[in-house]
Amino acid sequence: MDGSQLLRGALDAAVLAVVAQEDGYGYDVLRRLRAAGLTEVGDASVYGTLRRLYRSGALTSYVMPSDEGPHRRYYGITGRGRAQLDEARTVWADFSRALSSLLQTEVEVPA
Amino acid sequence: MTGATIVPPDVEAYLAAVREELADVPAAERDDLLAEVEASLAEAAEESGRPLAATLGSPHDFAAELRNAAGLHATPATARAPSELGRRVRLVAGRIAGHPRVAALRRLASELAPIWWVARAYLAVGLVAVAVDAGWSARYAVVPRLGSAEFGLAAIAAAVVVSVWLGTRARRRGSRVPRVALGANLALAAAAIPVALAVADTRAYDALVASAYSPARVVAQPQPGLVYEGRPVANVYPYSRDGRLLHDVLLYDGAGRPLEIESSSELDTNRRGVRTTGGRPLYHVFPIRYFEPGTRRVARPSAGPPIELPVVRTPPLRPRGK
Repeated sequence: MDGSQLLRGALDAAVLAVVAQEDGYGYDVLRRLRAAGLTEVGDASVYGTLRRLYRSGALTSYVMPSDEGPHRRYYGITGRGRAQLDEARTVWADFSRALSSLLQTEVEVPA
Repeated sequence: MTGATIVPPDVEAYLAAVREELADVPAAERDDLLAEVEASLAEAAEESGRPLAATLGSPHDFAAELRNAAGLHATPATARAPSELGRRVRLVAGRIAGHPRVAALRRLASELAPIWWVARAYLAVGLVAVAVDAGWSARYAVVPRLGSAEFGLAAIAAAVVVSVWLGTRARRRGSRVPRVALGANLALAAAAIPVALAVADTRAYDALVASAYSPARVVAQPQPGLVYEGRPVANVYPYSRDGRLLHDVLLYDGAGRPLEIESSSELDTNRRGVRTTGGRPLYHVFPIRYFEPGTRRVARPSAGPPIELPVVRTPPLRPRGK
C-alpha cells in the first residue's frame, strides 16, 4: 500500500490537528507535520489543503505583520473545523481498528 | 503579503511556472493560493539551500498536486460569486497591510488608539444629542444637554469608560478586526461632521442670546445718526429748568459734532424741516416737529413726551433769561 495515498485522505485531519494545537502559517504547518513523522507529505498538498480548509470555513486566516522578515498569513481553527476534527478522530479510530484487525497488526489507536 | 522579503529569483521562476500551469483557475483563487505558496517557498528555499526543483519536483507536478489538494478541479462555476469578490478584497487588503510603510502606520495608529477611544465616546453621545435634537449646554459649549448639562457630562464619561473597555478588549483579542467593529468605528468617525456642525450652530445662538440681554456690550457696526443705549433716537425734547419746552435748539457734542438724527427720517414728508439761509437742511435741531397732514401747520408746538420734570434746586449758572 502506498503510504502517500493513505495520507492524502487523512491530510485534512492532520492539518486540522496541527492548527488546532496552535495557529500556524503555511511553512510552519508543513514543518510540524514533518516533525510529527509525516515525512511523505508533499509541500503542495499541505498548502492546497490549507486553502481548501479555509475556503470551506474549517479554518480562519489572518496576516501577522512583522518587523523582521515577511508578513505571514496565519491559519487558525474555527468551530466548524473543530467539529470536523472530532469527526475525523472517530472515523480514524473506527477505520484503523477495522483495518488492523483485518491485517492482524497492532496499531496504536489515537485517543 | 510577503512584505519586504526579496523573493529569490529561482523561487519567482518556479512560481511563474506553477502559475502558468494553473492558468485555467479563477484569478482570485489562484492568486490566494500562490500568495500562500510564495511565502512558504521563500522560507523553504532559505532553510534548505538546495535548488527548489530538487525538493519540490517539477513545477508541473507541483501545480498538479496543488490543484488536487486545493480541490481546484471542481468547476469554477461552483465558486460562490460573492465570495470571489470577498477573496479579492481580502487579498488586496492583505497585500496593502503587508507593505512595510503601512505596517509602520498601523503601529502608530495602534499607539494613538486611546485618543480615538475617547473621541469616539464623545461622538457617540453627540450623535445621540443631534438625533434627539437636544440642545447644547450654555455653560460648556461642547456638552449636550441630555436633560441637563450635568447628565450630558455623565453620559460622556460613561461612554468613555465603555469605549476604553471595548478598545482594550479588542487589543487582547489580537489583530483581527471584525467587520462590524470596523464599520461602527468608521460610522462614528463620520459622525464628527454633523456633531461639529450642531455644536457650532449652538454657539452662534448662545452669542445671540447673550447679546440680547446686554445690548450695550455688543460691538455692532456704529449706527448712523443719533443713538442712545444702542437704540436710534428719533427726537430730543430740551426743557429749561423752569419747565418750558425749548424750540429749535441745536445740539452738539463736546467735539463739535452735530447730534444729527438719522437722515433717512427726511423721508417723512410731514416733518417740519429746518434749513439754513442757503437752504441746507439741518438734522440736529430739536425738537423735531411734524405738520398736520396736508398742511404746513404744527398742531401743538409744545407737545412733549409724558414725563414729570424734576424740580431743579441747584442755583442757576447765570441769571435767568438768555
